Amino acid sequence: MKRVFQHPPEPLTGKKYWRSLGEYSNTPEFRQWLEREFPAGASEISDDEWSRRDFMKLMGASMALAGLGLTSCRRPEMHLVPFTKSAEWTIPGKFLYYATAMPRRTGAIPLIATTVDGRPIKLEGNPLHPASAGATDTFAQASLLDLYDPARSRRFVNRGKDSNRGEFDAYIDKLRGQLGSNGGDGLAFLVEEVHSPTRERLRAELEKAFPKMTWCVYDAGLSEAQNYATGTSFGENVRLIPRFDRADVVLALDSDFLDCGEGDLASARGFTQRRRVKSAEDTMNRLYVVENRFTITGAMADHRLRCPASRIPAFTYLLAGKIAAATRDGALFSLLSTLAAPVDTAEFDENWLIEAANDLVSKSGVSIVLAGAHQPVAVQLLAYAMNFALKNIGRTVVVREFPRNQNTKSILQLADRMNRGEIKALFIFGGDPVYNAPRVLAQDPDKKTPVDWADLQKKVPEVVRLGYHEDATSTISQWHVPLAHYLESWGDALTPDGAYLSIQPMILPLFGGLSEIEILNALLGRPKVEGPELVQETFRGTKPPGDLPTAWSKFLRDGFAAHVPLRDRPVSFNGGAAASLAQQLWATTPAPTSDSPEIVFVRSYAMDDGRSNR
Amino acid sequence: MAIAGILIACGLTAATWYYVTPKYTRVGYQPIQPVPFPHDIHVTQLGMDCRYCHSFVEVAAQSNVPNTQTCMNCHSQVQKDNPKLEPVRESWKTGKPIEWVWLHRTVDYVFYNHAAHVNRGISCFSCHGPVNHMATVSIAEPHSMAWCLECHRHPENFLRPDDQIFNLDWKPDDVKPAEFVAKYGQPKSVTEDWTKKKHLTQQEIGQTLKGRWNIAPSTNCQTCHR
Repeated sequence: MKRVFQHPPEPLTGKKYWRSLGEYSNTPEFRQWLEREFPAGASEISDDEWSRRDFMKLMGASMALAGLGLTSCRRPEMHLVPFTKSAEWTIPGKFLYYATAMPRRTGAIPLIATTVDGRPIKLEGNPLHPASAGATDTFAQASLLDLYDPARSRRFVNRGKDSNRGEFDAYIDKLRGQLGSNGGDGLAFLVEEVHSPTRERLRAELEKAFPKMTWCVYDAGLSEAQNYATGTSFGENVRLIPRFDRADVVLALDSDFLDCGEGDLASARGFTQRRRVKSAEDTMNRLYVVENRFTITGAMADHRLRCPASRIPAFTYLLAGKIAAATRDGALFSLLSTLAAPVDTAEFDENWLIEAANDLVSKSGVSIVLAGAHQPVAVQLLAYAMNFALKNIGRTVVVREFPRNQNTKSILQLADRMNRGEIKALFIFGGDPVYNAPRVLAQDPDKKTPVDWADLQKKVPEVVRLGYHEDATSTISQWHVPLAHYLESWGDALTPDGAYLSIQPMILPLFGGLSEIEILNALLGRPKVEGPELVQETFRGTKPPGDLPTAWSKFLRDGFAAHVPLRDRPVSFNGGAAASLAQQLWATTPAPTSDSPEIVFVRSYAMDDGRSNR
Repeated sequence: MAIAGILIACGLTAATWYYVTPKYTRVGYQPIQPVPFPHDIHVTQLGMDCRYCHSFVEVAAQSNVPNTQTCMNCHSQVQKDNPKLEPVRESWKTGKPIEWVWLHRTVDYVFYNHAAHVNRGISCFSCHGPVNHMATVSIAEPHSMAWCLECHRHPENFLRPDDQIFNLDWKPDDVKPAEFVAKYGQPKSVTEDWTKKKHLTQQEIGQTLKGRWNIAPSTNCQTCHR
């Protein structure tokens, strides 16, 4: 039945409000017009026989019955679709596990990839190797999804137009000829830190073929401070490896070492091992953290002191003074004596300092003092000197041989050469310098205005960008070549403490991407490689025991080469060099105020240096 | 009035019971496949074992249909110009797989494991019928839950010696009692000496094997419905 709506009855008192002129005039024609739903002339289903609602009910029932009828009762035809050629060793529905590694900023993480039907679906740490302790971090887990990222680069681009592998190979050949004529002057590489022995080997061969080339390593998350300090104090080609599993007391100065985002899972596992108390005789380690923000390490700390990052040098000076007094260590004393005392140290909790220093001294040889990688060189040197005074070097802080090619330039040096127009062919491997290069790299020689990376890159006539995404850097490069994911490539890597890992592909490059070593190989004029030949060449160079095929199979199966030794240097601290360098670079600033605040740029736990924000 | 109502209800029930159950709706389904692959020629005439193509039936839950490479192992030379094999050659050339029509399908909430059955005395024949004599595969058994429970409740009606799993023509009469007892013994509860018998029934064979192999198929819901 059609409902006839009554307007709300007029209020007995109060003002009556009209909503239209018709309502205001309130003529009988208006009232009739209101009641009639459709204008005059429209055909209507009249009230008594059939309403719209009944009509809808009937149609709905008919549709439902039609659905129940013959067509939908039949079993839908579905298909079994096998491979044409199956992936090797796969059994449908069962998993296959392969060892590989994920290259990271400070080292690589050994992984086990679960594959099904020839496709990797899960990554876990490789329990056979202590560097991952059988675990992964967020970035390793997410890297699997990177492989299937719909936004990843799928095509070769040459000057804005689609191209292909054949044309790129021809281009590299031509470029090689041009560069060879003048010893590689004008050839430059801007790469990220991946710690790949094969890439280093090919780089060394390129440097022999093109002696004047420039090789620059840049990563927004890396700081050179530690390398500089280590080189001065302990000699070149070493890296200090903290052994948290041997430490009873750890003091971290703005060092977020429990955050594994740099790839150092072994530290976190070593530390937590010492927290585990299984019997009454077990002792826990103790963590002191001095930091300027909330970090994972700070959350784990037993004692945490809040301190602005720019005041860490001052704090370290005071702490070093206390340790020097307690240990009476000559090198530490002489280093401190070269430094000007910081001003205004009243803000630091004296008790905290005393207790921390006493704890460290009482646990001489089983303690660690860590300075964060982004703290200045002087703080690093003080930390090393403190560790030396506490007799930690060689025990809880190990001096490991870690060869570095000394020919590596910084991005500022590369920018300088680009600014002067000396670079003719630039290869950018990964990274995204338009996005993350330092803002002011050089000065325009004529206009004396600051230039950033995009302007500098435009001065280079041939830029080849090997990239995972077609981003801002690719847009201004002459060539964009799709980068193969590490799950699609052959390669090798070193862990943060120097162990040699294998990287093997789980699947052929989904979009015909190339790896870095393939391009370096092409630049050397060698024939195209289809498989692991380049890595096998490096592996052969490590002199594996027994016959090569067996050793190689074991290398791939385990994910690491046990026969490659980890060499440590004997303990010797060059106090004199450290002192003079510290004196040159020492600077303390007063505490930040609201008029002169401190701004600290940190790595994001979620987005790394911004690269995970695609 | 009431009697007519009751009769109609009974009639509908009977009709549903007969026509709308898997035994009627599924058995006999014989769809046309993209390639008219004849099991009878390949298995009975040529003597190929089931496992040459359905290679993972003993190790995996799914028994696989063969990939094109398996077909081309022979058909790159045998019958290499036969027009019936054109889809196979086409698939091999282009890399696009052959889309076989799926016959023996359980619903998504049932999880069946081939390896668990094939390794424990249940032959292909028990569930798929005489495939080795089918020119086109058709469904021979209803694959309903009641039908699964028939075996799960009484496995001795279906068990066979483990070297006969892939012999789809095996009958209990083929078994020589003396050899059978020599290999598998006889149930402890039976006093009669079976070596003297002329034939063994399926139940006798099944009972022996069930005891010997400790076959106790679960009728717990979790087993198949996880």
